[in-house]
Amino acid sequence: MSVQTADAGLDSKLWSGRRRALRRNLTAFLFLLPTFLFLAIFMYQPTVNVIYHTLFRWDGFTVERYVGFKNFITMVNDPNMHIASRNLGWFFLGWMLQRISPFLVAELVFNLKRERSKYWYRTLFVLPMVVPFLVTIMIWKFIYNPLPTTGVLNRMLGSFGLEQWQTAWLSEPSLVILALLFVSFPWISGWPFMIFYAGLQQIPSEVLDASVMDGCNVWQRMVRIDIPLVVTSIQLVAIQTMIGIIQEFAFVLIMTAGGPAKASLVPGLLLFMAAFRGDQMGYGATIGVTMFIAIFILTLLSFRYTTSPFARTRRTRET
Amino acid sequence: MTGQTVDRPFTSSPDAAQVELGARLKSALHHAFLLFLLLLTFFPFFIAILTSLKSFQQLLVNFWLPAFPLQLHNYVMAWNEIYRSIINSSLVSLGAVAGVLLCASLASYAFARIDFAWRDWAYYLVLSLLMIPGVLTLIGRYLLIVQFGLMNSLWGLILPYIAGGLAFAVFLLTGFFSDLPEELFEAARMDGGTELQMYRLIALPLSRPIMAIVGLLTFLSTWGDYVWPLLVLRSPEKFTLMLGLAKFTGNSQVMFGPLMAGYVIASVPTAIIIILMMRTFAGAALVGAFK
Repeated sequence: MSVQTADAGLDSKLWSGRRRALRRNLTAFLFLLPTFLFLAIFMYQPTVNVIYHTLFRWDGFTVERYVGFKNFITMVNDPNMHIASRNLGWFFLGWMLQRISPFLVAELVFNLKRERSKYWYRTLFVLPMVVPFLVTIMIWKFIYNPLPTTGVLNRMLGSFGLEQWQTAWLSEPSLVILALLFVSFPWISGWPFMIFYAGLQQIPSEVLDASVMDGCNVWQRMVRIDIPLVVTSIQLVAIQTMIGIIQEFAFVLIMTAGGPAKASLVPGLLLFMAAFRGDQMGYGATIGVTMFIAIFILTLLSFRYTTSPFARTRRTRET
Repeated sequence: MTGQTVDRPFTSSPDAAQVELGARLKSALHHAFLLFLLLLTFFPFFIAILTSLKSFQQLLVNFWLPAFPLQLHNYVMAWNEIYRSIINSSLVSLGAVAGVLLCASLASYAFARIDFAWRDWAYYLVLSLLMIPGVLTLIGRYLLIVQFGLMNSLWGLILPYIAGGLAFAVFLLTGFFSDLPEELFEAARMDGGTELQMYRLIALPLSRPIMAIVGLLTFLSTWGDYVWPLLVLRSPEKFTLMLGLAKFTGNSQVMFGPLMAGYVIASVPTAIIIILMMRTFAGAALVGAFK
């Protein structure tokens, strides 16, 4: 009898434990429901849909014919894709340098002696961030305006007596990529500058003092101490830039729309035109998936050959 | 800092005077170079503001300096052209911010504070979305919007924006919620508090700074988007600010003054938001969160 009641007690305890777990799961499920609804509809479904349809000739709605890997073959042989990839290569090099170079400016500001001047330079270099990226682009379109009377750059050349250099900067196939790369010169973009500067500020002051004691000059300190210590910020900016560059096309769309005569095409713009201006959704999807694979591989490689940029967060959190 | 403290003991010797002079010269060059960089950085914005206050005639005659009388009515023209799109953009961005904050904070609370089955897997399922580039889902999302009949509707922007912002928001908020001290929740649990009460009365009030950061980031990224509104919106009265500006740019080949005035007006909301971000400690925390 007593055994039985003990058993029943254990049983009911077990049962209530299970019921509690069930209730916990149910609560968590309800908390997660809105998020997963959004993600299922607008993230997972489109991703799967797009990957699946790389194998189809598809206008997005009715025409759907299985073509195997024909889209990929078309892409590899597409002369537009060749132009776009070459341009992407140039943008990749140029923009990577542009996003990393604020490190040198951050060093220059960081090495100033007076705190007040540091503060002012820092604020002023970050200030252009308040202008939306697209507005900056549109202002640069005004700078490159082709007319000798209203284009800022042409007008400037004119006032230096260099009229023979005035040109339609964005309509010359040989100049357009260079002109696009020069947008927002001297490229001290606020965001990388902020991240780099914060990285420099986190170097322990003992290390900096010790370097002075040992007679380290500024250049040696930068190469031997600062760069190794802020390498995670540099990697973070590099990875973000890389992922951003591969898919960027709003910039080109606004500046040149890929012109003149396809001279400034990039893969993202090609996807956009194929899918939304040419009804070749399957082909667009193929370009998108290829870009995704490229981004995925590059991200993995950069994690493999360098330390993870998130490792540092974990370490600082533990201490 | 370094040069001066080391050199000071020797200031009496003539050599030291030269060293001092050298240091001064170096510092002057240092400042000159930084100022030159600042000048180049701000040059386009100066020109834009100058031009925004000129008529076309004034621009032709006097390109580089301010011209009088100032053409303040350029701003009125620009405002009339884009105020509608500013309202639309505000609705879209605020809607997206509200949706992201509500959904992400609920989900993050569950990930950080409730011990449920398959928790890690569910979390990785969300985080894996950080690897999916927006351009990949562009086509698929477009087809959904068409099927749902949300073309040319602001909801066609808000709903995908919420979905797009969730993964990163959950990542930031889960980290923050799991750092909250367990004692707070333990005490509430003793008093028979439900998870929803603990979420509302403990977790939310304590996470205002991080919620502000997530909200501001969502606002900025949706405010500045161009491609998605270009695909979804058709009629000009629905246009968001970036579309409105682009259309304005296309319309006005010669009206540089009003055009630049429009650019200046468009920068005001982002300026306010970024300055808010810098002013509060959010700025510092934001940089910390990314490192």
